[in-house]
Amino acid sequence: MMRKLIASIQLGLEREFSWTFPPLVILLSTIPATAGILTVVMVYWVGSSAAGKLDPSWVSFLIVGSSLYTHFSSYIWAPLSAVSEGKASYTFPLVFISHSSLSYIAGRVIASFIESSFTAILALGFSTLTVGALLNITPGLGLTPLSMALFAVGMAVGLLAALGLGLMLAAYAIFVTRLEWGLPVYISGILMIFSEAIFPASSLPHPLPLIAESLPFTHIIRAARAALIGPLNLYLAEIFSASLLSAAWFLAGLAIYAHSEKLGRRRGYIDYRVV
Amino acid sequence: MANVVVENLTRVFETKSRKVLALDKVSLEVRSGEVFGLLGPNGAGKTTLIRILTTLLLPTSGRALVGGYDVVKEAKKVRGIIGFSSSSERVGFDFVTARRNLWFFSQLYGLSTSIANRRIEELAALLEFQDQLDRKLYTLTTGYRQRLNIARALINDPLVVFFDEPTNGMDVFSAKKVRELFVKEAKINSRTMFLATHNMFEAEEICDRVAIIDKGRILAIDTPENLKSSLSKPVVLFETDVAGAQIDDPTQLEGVVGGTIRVDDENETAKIRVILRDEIFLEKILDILEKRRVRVYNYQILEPTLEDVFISQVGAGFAERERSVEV
Amino acid sequence: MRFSFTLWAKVVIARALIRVIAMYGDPLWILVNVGGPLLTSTALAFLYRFAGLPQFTGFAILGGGIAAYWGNVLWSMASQLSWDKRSGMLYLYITSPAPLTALLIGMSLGGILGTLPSSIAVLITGTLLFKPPFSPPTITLVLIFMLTLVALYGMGIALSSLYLFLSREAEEINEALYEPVSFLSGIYFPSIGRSSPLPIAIQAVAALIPLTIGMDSLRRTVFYAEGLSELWPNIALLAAMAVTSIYIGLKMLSYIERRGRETGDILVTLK
Repeated sequence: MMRKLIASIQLGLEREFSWTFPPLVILLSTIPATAGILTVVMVYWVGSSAAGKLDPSWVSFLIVGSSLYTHFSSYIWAPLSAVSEGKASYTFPLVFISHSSLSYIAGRVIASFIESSFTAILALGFSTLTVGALLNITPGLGLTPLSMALFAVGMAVGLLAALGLGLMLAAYAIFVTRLEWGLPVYISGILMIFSEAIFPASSLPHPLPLIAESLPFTHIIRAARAALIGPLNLYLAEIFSASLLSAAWFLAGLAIYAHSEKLGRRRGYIDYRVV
Repeated sequence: MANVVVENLTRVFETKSRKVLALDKVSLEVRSGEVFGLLGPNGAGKTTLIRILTTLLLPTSGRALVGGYDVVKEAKKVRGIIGFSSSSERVGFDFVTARRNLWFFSQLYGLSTSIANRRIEELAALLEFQDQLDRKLYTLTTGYRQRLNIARALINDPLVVFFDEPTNGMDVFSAKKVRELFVKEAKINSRTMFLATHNMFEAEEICDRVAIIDKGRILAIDTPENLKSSLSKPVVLFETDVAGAQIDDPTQLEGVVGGTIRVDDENETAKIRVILRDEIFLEKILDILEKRRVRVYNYQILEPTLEDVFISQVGAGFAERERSVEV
Repeated sequence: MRFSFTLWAKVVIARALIRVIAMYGDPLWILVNVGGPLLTSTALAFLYRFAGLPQFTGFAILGGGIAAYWGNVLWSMASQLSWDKRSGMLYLYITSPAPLTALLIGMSLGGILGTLPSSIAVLITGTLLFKPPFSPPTITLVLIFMLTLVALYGMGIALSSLYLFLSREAEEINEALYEPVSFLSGIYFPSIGRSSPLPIAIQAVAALIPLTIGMDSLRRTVFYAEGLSELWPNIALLAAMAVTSIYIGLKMLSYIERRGRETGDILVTLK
């Protein structure tokens, strides 16, 4: 199991990095992530300035939320990609018959997670600096070893949740043979609205905030904000909620994926592909 | 009338570390109504020549005319009168029907829709895929996709059609259909059919003339019959036990001009096919094989093939040549 | 000359039609295309509302509607030739007399028609959800929109030529540039002018991108009811940018095609 997982992580990393100079990969993914964060900050700045309600302390709220949102949305698709790409190249059926599909998918997610983590941390740093330079403010981020460690714990919990969600998407990809790549766009968009990435969930019309509360990503983002912006005492409660929800999502993903694999095999979808 | 004229055509590919001479002063002429085969192993320069003739690549030196137009100076005019198909290339758009794909390609040549529709029906009838025309491309079998690819190359009623390995990977039935079509198109519609192939059977069966090419040089050009009859040396096939495979290079055997060794793992035999300088060397080779403890089950003198013509010129067969060519 | 134009027009129509057939032939395509702009503009509209200015939600909705076009005209086209090269279609195009510019504009036109449902969906959904105030469409708006598309088309040709010499890098660079250029162009917020929060030097750089001028002009027409009399400098600038970008794009395409034939690079099917 462990050997398969490590091999899949290596494969995933190679897929992410080997096509060019690895730092270039990180740079090419950090640039759009930073620009996305800047757009969100500018939208808030323009809107609140015109309304006469500008509060610069919200800028750090937006930077942390957007960085983590970008992080999640850039790797939750990895399982879906592993299955759909694997079906097109016939890798997936071979992985399936070797009894390794779960470790294969987990490995691919971890590889994407590693790349995305570098990107998210760099984007967080770059956007903080850029926003400071562009708007002449100092976003209030407390970057201490403790806060960064707590932030990293949040990201690790997020990996479990993303794997759960990813497995659900991978389950879908077993049955769908084309245009499945469009699905992550929806998932990312939904996360942007509901995970408290760029505005408080409480500002959504009722009963939509309930959706936000049921997402582990919302609590991870809140915990990350508590770690980097404060107050720190909120961290424990949020990371606890995030862990519980992530575990539940992971188990649900696991069950749905396992069931879909069985169903896919029964219906002949494992090696079914369309050009 | 010559539809393809190539004079001293040379092409050198340069990279930072090395220069590769892909074509070396190639000269040839191909007439109207002729099925012409460019025969050689992979890496011989066939595709490079076709790329230059289809305006995809510029020559380093020399001149090439297609339909009387210079491929360098009058590329646009050349493009209007040629068709091109390569088995390795994409056929069209997957989520669009075969008919609509063919119509699309007809528009690249400015055909009116009515003429295009008529042409699509004609070609589909000739290649027997009328019932597949309204199916989306991704639903077609490989054989039908390949036939569609051939139809696409003919959609603009071209004067010269270039095919790069046209039947590569094609099923036997489709390949037969396509070969019949090549001959018909050349003889009835006076098209020049220019084939690059390493399929000797194809070259022998349908080509009026064949040019044998190796390492960018044309070794011989003539009809398949003339090429084979020009080989005055005897071709001998020895069937031996697997020990025969220990002979790395048949030219090391006395009196051998060139040859190939194929191992048949299933029957545990080796087939040593050699071209001898003279029949008198036959006995000597049998002696050598015996001394090397190679058991000879059978041997026979064969009718030469086009590959034997190639072997007599370069000393090795296509497969051996391909292995030795740097890619 | 007449023959050339006929051929050019036929190729444009054929390529556009194929793209439209491919997109509309599968309703899922439309659904996939709507997702990104619809959800992003909704999220940003919520952010405008949270920031205290519900009137500005229109900026996010207009941005979502335009983002789909801008993605199709400039961004898809930029990677088109590189994609054609890798998929093996470029061979077929180059060995035909069809002009590459016609293929690119056809693909782009098809994209515009194919994007129509996404754009309409974003505009209708956004309007129903957030009810932003806006002025009715005018001729000025259509003129600005068309000029912006033409200028982006020119940029698309230029980028498409550049990417021809790259493989996976083309896609990655394309993706990497999309967000920064969107940011500078101010698709979702005013990046130039009085309302822009950006320093003047950054605004000057942003103003070099035709989309920036286009978006600024569209916002001023739609949300501030400005007309030709106020916007003529923007329109003149857009027209100049359109002519310049088309000229540069065509020159680059012809240079790259020639160089490709010389070096053989244009033929290399990269994986």
